[in-house]
Amino acid sequence: MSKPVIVLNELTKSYGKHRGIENISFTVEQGEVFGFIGPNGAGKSTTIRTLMGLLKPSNGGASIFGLDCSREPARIAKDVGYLPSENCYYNNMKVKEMLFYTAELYGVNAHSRMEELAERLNLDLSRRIGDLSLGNKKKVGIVSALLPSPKLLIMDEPTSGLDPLIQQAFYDILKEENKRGVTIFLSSHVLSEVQRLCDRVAILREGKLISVQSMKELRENGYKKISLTAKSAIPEDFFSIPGTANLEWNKSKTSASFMFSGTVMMIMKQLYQLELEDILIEEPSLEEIFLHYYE
Amino acid sequence: MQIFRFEWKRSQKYILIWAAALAVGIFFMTPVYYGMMETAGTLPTGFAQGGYFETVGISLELLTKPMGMYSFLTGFFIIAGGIFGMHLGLSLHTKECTENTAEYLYTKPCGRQVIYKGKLLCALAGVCVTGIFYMMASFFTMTLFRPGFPPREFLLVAGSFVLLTLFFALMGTMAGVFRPNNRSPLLTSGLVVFMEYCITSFSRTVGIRAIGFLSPFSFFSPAEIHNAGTYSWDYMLWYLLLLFGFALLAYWKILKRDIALAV
Repeated sequence: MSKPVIVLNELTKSYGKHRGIENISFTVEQGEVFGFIGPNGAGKSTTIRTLMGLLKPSNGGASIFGLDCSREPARIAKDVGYLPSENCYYNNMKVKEMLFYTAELYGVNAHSRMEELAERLNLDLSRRIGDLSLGNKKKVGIVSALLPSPKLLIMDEPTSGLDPLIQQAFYDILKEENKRGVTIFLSSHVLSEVQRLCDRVAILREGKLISVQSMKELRENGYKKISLTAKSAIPEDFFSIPGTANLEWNKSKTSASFMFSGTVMMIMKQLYQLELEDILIEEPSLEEIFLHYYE
Repeated sequence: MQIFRFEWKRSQKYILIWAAALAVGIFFMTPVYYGMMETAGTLPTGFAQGGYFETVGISLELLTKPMGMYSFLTGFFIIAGGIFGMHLGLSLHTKECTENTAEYLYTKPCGRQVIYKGKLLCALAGVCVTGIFYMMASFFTMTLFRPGFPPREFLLVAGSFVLLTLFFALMGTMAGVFRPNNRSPLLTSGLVVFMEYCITSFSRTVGIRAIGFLSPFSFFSPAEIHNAGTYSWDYMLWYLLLLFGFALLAYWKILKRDIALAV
């Protein structure tokens, strides 16, 4: 079995009164596309910045390729392509100059790769970075991260600001990179993106790790979304059975929708007591599962 | 070297403008002040004996000589040099934070050590360029308008400009590493240099030499250079200690701290 590429061990970062991250532990395997999801302020960027050696952990630790993130960030960075969540490029430089500078810092000759990526992402290399739109600046970041052909890509909110066509091109590039054996770690709060790309996800909430699951597990965790309409008003405590969550009623109490994680027989027995007009049992979307974790 | 080359390219215009401005300033101001040498004896008694010249490290007797007048003038150019040096050292670090580029730079394989060394080298190069410009302009203006000046004394006085600029460049480097989110590096530099200048003036006025250790301006008194023909060894030792202290403290801090990302 291959060694994990990223290992987080009780990683904690605190900023005095402000919340950081607490005791985050998980691993990312070689060749995996790993998603890191959570709402704004959950601690995704703090975790990533600690992995990149920008922040020193208050407790615990993290390693990439077996190297300690806080002690050897420069050695780690040789094989990592990093896309920050915010645009952090030299506004006075032209795109091409900045990308050449990136290649120089990595010690690679990446002229053809730069041209190829710029063409696929429709990025004008001759423009000044300061004159670019938010989306185009993001493209500069993506090209900069991919330029040195890294073994690991760490991307923080990679598609924010990109239009759908470029997003598609970006997903294609990521899939190609992954086929090449590149491990991808990406944070997002766009769940469809994570659903589309990732093998596993870590869910973060208020600086704490809630769960690490495969996409399959996340969808098959037993939750079904049930929406029903009865001929007469349903008693308010009718769904007070174990495994029911997110219960919502209409005004007349004839329609209800909820998430259910118990056995099918249990809910069927319960529903049998109602005179139903309509019922819909479906897989909840990732958004709904995700919201459930934040309750 | 990539970091140095990049930082140099980024700062060269700023450095060259300062260097040229200071060189042009000393070149043209020196002959203007020479004209005042003859009138030094006619200064109002209260002003001449009120201790003003002592506060800038010059004696009235020295002021009647070309070297003395050049020293007097250099005393003011040193303030400008200090502001330039401190601002250069400070802004090399603060602009990564204020221009929001730290996250790009500090996640590259070069690492913090190389970044620090590259920026420090750039600050040193800036000091060297400005110093060379200043010394050359000083030499030409003195040779042209009052030849026959003592070369050793000239080197010591003009050299004090370079040494003070270097001092403030390293002080600025340390300040930039410790407070990278400083959005007003020029104001900070101006205030610090002016405050240091005031400390020296105060120490000379009250005649307590020990206070002079708090300000680098005290280390290079033109009157002492004129009398002793050298810099004071105790001040020099302290100067070197502070210089290395600033550089090492900044180095230690940059390796240990969290990178400040944006203001």
